[in-house]
Amino acid sequence: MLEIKNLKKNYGDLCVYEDFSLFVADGETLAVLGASGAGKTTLLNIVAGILPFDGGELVDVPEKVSYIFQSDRLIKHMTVLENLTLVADEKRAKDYLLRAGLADFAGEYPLHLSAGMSRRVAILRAFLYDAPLVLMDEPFRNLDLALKYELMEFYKSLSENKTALFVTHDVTEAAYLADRVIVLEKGRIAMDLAVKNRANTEETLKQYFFSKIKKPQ
Amino acid sequence: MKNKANKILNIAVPLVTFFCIFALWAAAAAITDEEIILPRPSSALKEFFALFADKKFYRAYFTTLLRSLIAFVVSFALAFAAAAGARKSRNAARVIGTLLPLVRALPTVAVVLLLVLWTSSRTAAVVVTMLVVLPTLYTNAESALSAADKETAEMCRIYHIPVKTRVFKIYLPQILPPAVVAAGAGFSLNLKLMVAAEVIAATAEGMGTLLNLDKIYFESAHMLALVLVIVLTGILVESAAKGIAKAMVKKYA
Amino acid sequence: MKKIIAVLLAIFTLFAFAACNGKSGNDGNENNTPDAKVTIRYYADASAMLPAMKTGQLKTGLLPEPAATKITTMNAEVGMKIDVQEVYGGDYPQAVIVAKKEIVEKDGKFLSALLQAIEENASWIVANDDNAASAVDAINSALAEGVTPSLDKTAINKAVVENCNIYLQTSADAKTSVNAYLAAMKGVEDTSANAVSDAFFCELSSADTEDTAAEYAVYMPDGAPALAMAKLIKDNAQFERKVEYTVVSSANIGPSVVQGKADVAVLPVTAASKTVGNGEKYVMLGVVTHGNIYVMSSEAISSLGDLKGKTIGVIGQGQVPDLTFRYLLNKNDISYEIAK
Repeated sequence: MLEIKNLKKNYGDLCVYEDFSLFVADGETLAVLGASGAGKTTLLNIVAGILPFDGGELVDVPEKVSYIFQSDRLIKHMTVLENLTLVADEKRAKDYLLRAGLADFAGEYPLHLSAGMSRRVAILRAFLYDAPLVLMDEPFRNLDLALKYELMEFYKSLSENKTALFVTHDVTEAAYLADRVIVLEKGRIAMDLAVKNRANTEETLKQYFFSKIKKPQ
Repeated sequence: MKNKANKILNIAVPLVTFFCIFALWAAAAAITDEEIILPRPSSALKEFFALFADKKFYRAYFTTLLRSLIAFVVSFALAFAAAAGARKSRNAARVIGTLLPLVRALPTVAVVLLLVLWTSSRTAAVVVTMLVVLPTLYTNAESALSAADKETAEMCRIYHIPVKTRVFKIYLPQILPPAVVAAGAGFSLNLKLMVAAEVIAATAEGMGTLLNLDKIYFESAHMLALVLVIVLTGILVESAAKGIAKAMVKKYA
Repeated sequence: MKKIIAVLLAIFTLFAFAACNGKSGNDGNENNTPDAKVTIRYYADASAMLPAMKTGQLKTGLLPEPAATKITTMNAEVGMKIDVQEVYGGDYPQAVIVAKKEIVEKDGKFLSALLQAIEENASWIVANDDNAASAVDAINSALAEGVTPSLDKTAINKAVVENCNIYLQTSADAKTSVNAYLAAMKGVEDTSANAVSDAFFCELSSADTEDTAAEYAVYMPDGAPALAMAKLIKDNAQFERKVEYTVVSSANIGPSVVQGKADVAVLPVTAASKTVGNGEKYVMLGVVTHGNIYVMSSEAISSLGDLKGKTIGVIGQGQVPDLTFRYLLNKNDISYEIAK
């Protein structure tokens, strides 16, 4: 599906990516982990086409890309249904709402929804847009564990054959949702795992991060 | 407990302030003892209430209001068009960046007098008011447009939302409430300027004309009554605008 | 969005309706045909109107002397067509001289001498062109700070000064005409003038008090009224007291009196009636200038009626020439409207 070749990206003097390459296969859900400031969101935004880059090339980036942002980014003065009809026609929107069990909330305004509910709408919007590639930037951040699992299942129910690239801090999330996990460190891939067994992957990742902790002197 | 105290104070303190102003005024008028120089509050208030029965007053009042509305709407539209243009095109921003300080620095009186020679008194009054309010409205427009936040813009870009939809369905309703509040506050200034421009341009009709005649006829109490009308109108419009903005967001807030 | 535009349009229409409704002008008679109205176009001051008459853009104007003659030099086609004073039926008072009441009581002799000098001035300024010129010089030398001179020596000669109608009429003689004129003005615009009390008119004949140590500030507005005192300024007449002459702009003469800065002042009779007409602080000694308004035009006009269907420029909405003119239009049943 998507290939990133020799990507170079600077923020002023700071070099985030010097010579970064990545291949994402069709239908693959790829989790990107890494320390804060490692450039994960930058990568997503470059692929989404809203951030320019300084070198290298992106191959086979689809024209339509969905994005689930860190914040919901729903239009506050529009109802749930109106928000959804921004990306698809009303019939499909209503259909999706029904299938997702959210039909009752069609006429509600985002500020009147609970956090979990509005996140669901954001996720729904991304899939309603029907793009081959879904980008996600820590989509389940700041949610309690029960809600998190609920939403991850919700996501899985919608995402059957989509290619997804998602950024997260949470190793559990990564293990739960992804087919493949990479860890970024200083603009390079420090680890690249295929997820065969969730528990194992989670454990491996945890070990890796613990080993990175600097012990107090 | 605290809430109730606050509510009482919200009404009581302004009332006391007004009362003190009136008391001071009455004292000063008593000391000066010359109605033409400083009319007593009672005579000014008497004239104020008499205005409501005066056909000439209504004519003048609505003439000035109409002119103010025209100047304001035109200025508002220009300000927003300019701010939008400046966001889109660097060159447009450069042009506006050069013109704006120029307009801001124009000496109002001189411009009025020149315009009277070129066009007519009433055109001069409207154009001058429009020019003077423009820089302020432009700054408001700029901040309103940039408040149409970056995150929403990104989302719209990614989801390929058509420009027309972005402008009319997303940005405009987002900008409208703060714009309305700014408009309310701006109209007060607008009205004030219009009256001044009318006086300088010596228009044949309007509040400025009435004030001018009051000056010639030494009708100071009537003059103060007119001033009171202008002040109240400004306050009313500002409050109304705030109320409208509040009503706009009520549905979804 | 649409709602907002709709509301704006509604407000706009409402304002427009309220503003444009009602007539501006007099009501006229029922049997007047629509095109028989005189159109009055106001100008803020002479510098706004004279250029329009010079180019012929404005063909007819109501002007006081000396501006009336001035326009004939700027545009040879413009001539003096109507003597407004004739239409009024004779002279009417324009500027009066007032003095603080206490001066009448304490130093009547000074005021008598002053009036005497004013009377002499009246014959002096029309004696010849040289006197007219030196009169203007004198006035311009006594201008208060920041006042731009309105009298132009090159435009003023004996004939012009004659048209300015400057002569003294004491209170006793002027009382009837002053009251009649004030009533006429009040009829046109109720707040333009007050009826004055009898106490306002002061007869100096019995004043024989004297105060040789007194100091007096004499104020007058620039323009024709100042000509009434020109010789006194030229001679710096002190009358064995200390007298200071100041010529202020016509906008400031009222405040000078209201604030009590002027001990003696020349000011328009209408302004006097509104500020000191009750005779409590100031009293009127006499009338010093009389009506000096003329209709100047490049068209064939010989009577007020000829102005129907035409536009006439008037300087100073609400000022004395405007009020006098409108009074005469009303009196002669001629309807008018104000140009926007």
